[in-house]
Amino acid sequence: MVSMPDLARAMREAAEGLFILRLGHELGEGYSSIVVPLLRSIRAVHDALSTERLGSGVYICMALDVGGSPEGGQGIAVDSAAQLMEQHDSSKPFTVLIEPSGFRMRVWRAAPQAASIDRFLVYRYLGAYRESFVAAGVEIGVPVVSGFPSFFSMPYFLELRDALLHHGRHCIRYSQCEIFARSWRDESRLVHLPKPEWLMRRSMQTHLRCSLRDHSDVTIMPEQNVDEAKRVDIKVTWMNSNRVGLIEIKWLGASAAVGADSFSQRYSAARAREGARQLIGYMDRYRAEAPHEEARGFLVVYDARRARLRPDSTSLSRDDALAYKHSEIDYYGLLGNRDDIDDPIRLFSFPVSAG
Amino acid sequence: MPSPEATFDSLAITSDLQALVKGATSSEVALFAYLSCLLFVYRGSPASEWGYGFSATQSYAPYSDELSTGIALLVRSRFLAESEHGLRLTSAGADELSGMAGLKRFSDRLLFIRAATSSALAIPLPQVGASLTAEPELRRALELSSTRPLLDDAGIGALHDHFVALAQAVPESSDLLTPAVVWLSYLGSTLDGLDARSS
Repeated sequence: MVSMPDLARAMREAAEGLFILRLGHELGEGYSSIVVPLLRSIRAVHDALSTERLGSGVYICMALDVGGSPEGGQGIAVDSAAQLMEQHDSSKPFTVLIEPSGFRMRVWRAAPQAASIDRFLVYRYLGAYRESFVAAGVEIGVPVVSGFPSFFSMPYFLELRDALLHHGRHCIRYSQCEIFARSWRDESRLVHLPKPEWLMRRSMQTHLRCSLRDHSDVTIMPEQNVDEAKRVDIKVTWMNSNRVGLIEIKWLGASAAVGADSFSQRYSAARAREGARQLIGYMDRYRAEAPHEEARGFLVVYDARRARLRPDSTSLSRDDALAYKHSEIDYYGLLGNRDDIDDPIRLFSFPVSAG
Repeated sequence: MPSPEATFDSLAITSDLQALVKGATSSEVALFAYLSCLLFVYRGSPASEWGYGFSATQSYAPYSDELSTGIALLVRSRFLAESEHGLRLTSAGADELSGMAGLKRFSDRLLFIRAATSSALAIPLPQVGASLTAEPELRRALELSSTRPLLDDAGIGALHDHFVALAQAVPESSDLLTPAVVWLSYLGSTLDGLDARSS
């Protein structure tokens, strides 16, 4: 039982640094009538223009008083995502003024004029993980979520498989997720540190918690005692449904401690097949234990295999570094007749020099 | 027949989520309706005046039979349509929502609904549902019985301490979006300390 002072303190701590509170503090009473339409528009702009196209910066503005423009002239009126894309030039900064109704915008292919900025609440995106608000001259940061270049461009998925594939492309392929990035022994990304699997689980859990709609929980399953049958790594449950997603994670490649003269682990495709067998066994046991749940199994393989790798390697030829890039794993028909297990997902991660 | 409040809330929440993520699932409608009801209680009104009730599912999610029935009826009446992104308002549904929103009986509810759905602009949408799984009334209901109604007289006390602490944490907030986001952030921060669900 938490005491009232402790509960109040915990809530104050949870409130600390929330951008919405800081915006409320700067803008005062009724702030949500300005902030909510702006936030909706930020999301709409990110939906229309991918973060890769916004490297020159985008500024999205909402007037704090009547009239005025953040740049010279009237700008160009747009009212659809298609028009927004048409007007955007990725080589130039882009300023978007949200009309008070929140439904129409005016755009300029330039950054806002510094002299006029105080009359607007401004959101700015200046590249991956570089976004903030400026309200009354005060800069307010936006939370950084690992693997998502912008908090407001975070994609949402209804299907678990789609979310896992996105995790592979946008978090793992180039180690964009800083949780997963911590699993490497050094910046060459050739060799994992010993026992990297907990970082892979945590990276996937973070991604699913942020992007998978309708879920009620994404749980990393506790480690088993050695004499117990192995459980899957992650369990996903959905709201108002008997659906359950059971995710088995395996990693391929090598791990070694810093300065070690031998690998601590080295896993080939056989390790992925071992994962498939474990998942089959687990699905059979789960179905017997929970016959009323509709369980679906997923095998996710984090693939960091490299050719001609030595424990002290810090660089490889491009051919060796990418030798397994397209090397799909043969499961010898293990999963062929299982309609309760999805096709395995292989997430290949690139070394730095080959990226 | 579902209550008119359940019908209105289904349309209003679907409309808001459609603007955010192109559609709403029926679970999301129940989730944001429950959060709206919690904000209604936070503002001092009895849950019994919300217009319809909720119960808890085994996955720690709120469920409302009235909303569920209402959504099915709205789909049959072609006010809502299924899409790859979830339920979406048809043009007839948008007209219906606009008409109902003009009546004071319903327009007063928009204050709570807008605060609830807008929280998904400040917190990733899926985390709203995950955070609410740590809500004390949902947890207590499942410890006692999964069929017990949520927010009844016996259960509302479980929330009282949270709302008192929340009012202390954001004392000068007249805007409901602030307490909604702070409370969800607090609940989310407690998730990893809760026992893993059944294996």
